[in-house]
Amino acid sequence: MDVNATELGNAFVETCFGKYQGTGWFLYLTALCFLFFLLRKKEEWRTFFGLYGGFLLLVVFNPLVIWRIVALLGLDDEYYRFLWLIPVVPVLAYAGTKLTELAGKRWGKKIGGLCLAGTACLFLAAGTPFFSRSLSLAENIYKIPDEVIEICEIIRADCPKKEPCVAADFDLDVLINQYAPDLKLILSYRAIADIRELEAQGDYIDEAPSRLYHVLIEETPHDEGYLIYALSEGNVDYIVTHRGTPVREYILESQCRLIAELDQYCIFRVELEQEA
Amino acid sequence: MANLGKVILVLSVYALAFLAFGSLVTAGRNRREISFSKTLLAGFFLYHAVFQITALPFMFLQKPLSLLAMFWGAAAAAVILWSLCRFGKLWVRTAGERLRGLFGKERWGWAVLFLTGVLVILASLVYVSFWDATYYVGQVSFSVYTDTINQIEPLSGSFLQSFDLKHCLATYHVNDAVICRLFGIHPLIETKTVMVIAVMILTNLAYYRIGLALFHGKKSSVTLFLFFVFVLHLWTYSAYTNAGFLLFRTYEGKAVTANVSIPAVLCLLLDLYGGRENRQTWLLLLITVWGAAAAASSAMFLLPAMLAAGLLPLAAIRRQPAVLGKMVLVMLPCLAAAACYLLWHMGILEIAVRR
Repeated sequence: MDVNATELGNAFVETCFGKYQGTGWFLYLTALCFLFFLLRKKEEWRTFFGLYGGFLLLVVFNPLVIWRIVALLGLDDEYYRFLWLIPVVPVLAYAGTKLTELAGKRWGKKIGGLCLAGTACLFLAAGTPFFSRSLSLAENIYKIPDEVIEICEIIRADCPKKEPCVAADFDLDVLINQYAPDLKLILSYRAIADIRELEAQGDYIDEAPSRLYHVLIEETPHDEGYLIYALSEGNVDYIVTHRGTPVREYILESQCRLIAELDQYCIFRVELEQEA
Repeated sequence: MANLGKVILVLSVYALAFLAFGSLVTAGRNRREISFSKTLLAGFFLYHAVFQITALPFMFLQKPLSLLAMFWGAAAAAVILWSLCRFGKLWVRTAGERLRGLFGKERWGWAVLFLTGVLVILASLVYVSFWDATYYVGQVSFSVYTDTINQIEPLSGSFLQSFDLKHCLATYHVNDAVICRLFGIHPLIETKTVMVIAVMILTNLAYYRIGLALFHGKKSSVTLFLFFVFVLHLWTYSAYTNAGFLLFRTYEGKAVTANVSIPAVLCLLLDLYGGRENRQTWLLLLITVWGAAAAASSAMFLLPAMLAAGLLPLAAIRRQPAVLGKMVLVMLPCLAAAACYLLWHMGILEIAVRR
């Protein structure tokens, strides 16, 4: 779902809240706390919370005004960052602490402890834990898979050139450019995005990156000369693909030699025959 | 092991640099005691603010990264040495008192250290892949490899035709590249381990200071407050919340804005509302906002909105128009960056990259 201020108009702010704030429960809880602070006369920070929250509501989160400013400044994709101005974490933590302490003072430490556990459980139930995202332990201090490092080192050791040109799939590209900027990626993130955009519009440019994209990323075999032309025009030195790629045989038939087979990836050296 | 040693070395140098820069603002004249949390936070922002005004001329004049690294290394070393001579005894004395406190009356400090430690360990051991590391970490890698400053478009690996003024005015990642040059560490280690640990600690320091402000320094309440902050950070995940940036996208400047800059400004606003206002509060606010703008371009719109939300009502209820003048002054670094961005966005301002 794209969030476009001009198209969404008054619904822009609401859409951003829905899209970017996970379950949204914490925003409701924060709003409830703001209200509680405002109504509680003894609350020493009610002036701050009232004025700061009120100003944000009237200006930064006012759906009638803000989408026009966002559209004018071209900040559609950045507006979600304004949600960070809502002090969700400090307000809820402050409310939790106050509640626990007040209960402890009025009804004793045991009830205070129950309040502490209850508030913590409420937060746990209302939120999305960070481990809901699939996580794994980093394999090394570089925080990229060991195999990516191995691929880069194999190519560096094998190639006499200082900056070998590599055609790899998208998942590898985004990691290789962080670890080894000396490997020139012909299917860079930008190149892939451009090809996808052009083809979505029905345009097709028959250049080396497009051909490589079709073979390596869309995994579609073509006639014999299709890949060889791309490898020659693009000055490609190496191809890296997933081991299970259906175009493996096609790559081998296109004047490439398999030089390494790792757990998940295969590395091919391009050995184009010299034309007479 | 060599890499681990370098991580510890660079983290120690950062701590010393932040302490040195921060002491220039927070040590005061009497020099009896220093607040480490306030000093480290102020030092982080002052370091990045000064780095920004140092790095921008090098970048736009298209000088090599190695030259900037040499210059900044010498300048930062001079500040550290000067501060060490001037405030070294104060640091040692205060550190001694804090340590004695940890084993004496201030055992609550262990709980705070434990909560911070858990977050540091989680964030530094977990592997998660976000495509935007290709841009931010890639930028550092290309700068170090080509010995240039922000001249490469990391998503394509090609030289830019003109500087990307939306991103390059914030020099946080240029600092990463400089540190990589100075200490010979890989950009992935600097961005995804060293700075992750630094940002995690700074975030907890910022929330610790918010706790101190909200509960007037009552340590038991602050500890409880930090426990809830810990729970909330672990349970408010979405790819776009501040916790999402804190735990998974810590290598980005945006993580600094969401988790260090905004809480640090909030803490200073609480000081102003709580009547603990003095000249240092305004100075700290200026340094924080300036450093935040140097750390991430997101700050150029966010912090003026936040300052307006905090300070316009304050000026109104106190009937002090002077607050408005101070507010505009504090906003200036962000407004200047925003003006450059808008001129660039409208196609009026363009700085070509010579090749």
